[in-house]
Amino acid sequence: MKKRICAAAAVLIICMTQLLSVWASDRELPLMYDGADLLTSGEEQEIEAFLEEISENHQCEVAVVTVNSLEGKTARLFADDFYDFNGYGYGENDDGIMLVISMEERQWAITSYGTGISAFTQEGQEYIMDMVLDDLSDGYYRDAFMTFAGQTERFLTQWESGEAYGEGNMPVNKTDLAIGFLVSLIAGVVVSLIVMLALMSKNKTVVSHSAAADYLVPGSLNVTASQDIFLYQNLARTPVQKNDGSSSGGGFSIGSSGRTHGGSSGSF
Amino acid sequence: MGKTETVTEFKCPCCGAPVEFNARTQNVKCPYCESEFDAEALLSYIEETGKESSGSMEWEEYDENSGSGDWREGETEGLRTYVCSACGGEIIAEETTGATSCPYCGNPVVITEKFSGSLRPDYIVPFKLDKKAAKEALKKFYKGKTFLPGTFKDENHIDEIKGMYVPFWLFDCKAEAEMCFKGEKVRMWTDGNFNYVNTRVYMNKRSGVLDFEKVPVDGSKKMDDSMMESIEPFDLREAVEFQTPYLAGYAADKYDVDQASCAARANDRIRRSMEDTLRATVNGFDVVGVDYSNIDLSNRSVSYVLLPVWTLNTTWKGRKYSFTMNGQTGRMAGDLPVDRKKFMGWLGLSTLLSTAAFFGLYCLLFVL
Repeated sequence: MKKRICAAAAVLIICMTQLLSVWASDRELPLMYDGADLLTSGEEQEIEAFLEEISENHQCEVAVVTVNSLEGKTARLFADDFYDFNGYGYGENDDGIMLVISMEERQWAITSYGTGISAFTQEGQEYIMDMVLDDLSDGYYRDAFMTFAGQTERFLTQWESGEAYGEGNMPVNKTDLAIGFLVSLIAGVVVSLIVMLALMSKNKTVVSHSAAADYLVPGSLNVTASQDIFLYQNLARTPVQKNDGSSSGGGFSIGSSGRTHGGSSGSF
Repeated sequence: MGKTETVTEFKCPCCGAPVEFNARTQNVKCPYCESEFDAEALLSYIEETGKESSGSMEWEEYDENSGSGDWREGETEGLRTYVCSACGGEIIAEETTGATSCPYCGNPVVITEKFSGSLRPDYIVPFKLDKKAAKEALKKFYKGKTFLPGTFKDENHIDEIKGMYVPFWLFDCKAEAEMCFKGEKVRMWTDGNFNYVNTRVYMNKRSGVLDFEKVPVDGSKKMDDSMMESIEPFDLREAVEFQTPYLAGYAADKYDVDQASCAARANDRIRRSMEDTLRATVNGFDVVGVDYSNIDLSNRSVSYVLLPVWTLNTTWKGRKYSFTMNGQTGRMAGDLPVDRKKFMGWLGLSTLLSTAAFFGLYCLLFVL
């Protein structure tokens, strides 16, 4: 019995030590950690340099992590723990944001901490991932990570100006604008064409009458038989279209270390 | 030697494939589209839709005994036939009225012949609107036509305006119809994983009787049938027994399409109206189509009538435009030219404005 108590106490002490070391430790892994080996070394260096530059300029670490498996954890928990136990985060407050993707589960998660939580609102994270997901799903990992890094820089700059991008204050996405304009143009052409053709048809007044409704004797209709007989029925079933690359709910989460992170997750 | 057997094959009302009787469900099932039918309902459907059309839409031949008969003695003396040397158009007018140009092609007329032949009309609807009213109506007709070329109104002038009595055949009958419609009730729902569309198909049997009075069909080859239908309806309650004095000041066309040839058009219109009327009694269905119809006409009678029409011809940029006006109601018809430049300009401007409006709305809803 004593041995068991001793063992438990030892585990507790080790855990406590680890927890304490979380806050104290410096980062040992690069900002671009390619555990799943998705990038060439050239690409890795390119992204690493970009991430370093952003992190220094904005004093908030931006990291990208690829792994083969989430080791049984949820994507959010894995990301929180990876951030905490590997010493990510800038300065004393460990400010930062990290994108983690796992190839086995094809899931992604964002975890943010410190100023990262304030700078990247839920709407902001959704916006960034909307731009990243297509490349991620198609296997263009370098492009996806560069887009992620570029967008985080944009968001950090905005946050430094006083108000973070968030609900009611989102940046304008050029692709969305172009699509919106194209749809408006098509709708505009269709509506105008309908109206103009209706106006043009006023110039054509010669039309045949296919019926003789004007020459019915009013009140002369006598329906002598009326019967509705059921013949058969058909049932057509089509699956409901569901979006790929879905994003699950975001919000705050607590990692194994006990620290509260911001973030979101989804599949790609 | 084997016995010869006659096999009756029933076809699926849904897809047309041969159906089979299912002993377990006691229903008839189509092995191709998997529709199931109650055997009795299917039999009734096959009987109804497989019926030979037994109804008759034949009209008796119209001759002098059918209508007001031949011209009275001396009645045609003051009448003359004017024949256009250019288009062959033939009109009748009083000797005193004369005819200076062809109402159809505008060619200065004409060979004058002594009137002869052709049946005496039963009725005539006298002109109620005069030449001045026709001119006014044309001016009004130009209004509200956005794409009418600006110069059309100013440059063109009315070359010829003629009051014409146009020959029509009038068809009276009692139509008795048996019809079979196919009505569909469509219901849609979803359970989150699948969208479902349930279509229940019914056979809607309808029989009914409907009276038609004086369905008019243009009896003149020279007058465009669509143009004549465009200025309908005429109020035929105002028709009076034909008398030659009504022709004074106007020209009259001789019928050159006989009653038998016009009957087909009358039948088409009667059939369509019968279908529309009975279809309107099939309520509570999302889609209704005609499957089978059999119409029998009784109490049939045909009369020959002259109806008042103003014809107006104008020329613009070397092209002739013809308009007709109902001389009784003032209804006007005729195709007008379209200014293509104006049309494209309006289309461009409207596209620009509506695109801006849609894009503004999009930005308001999704961007800002």
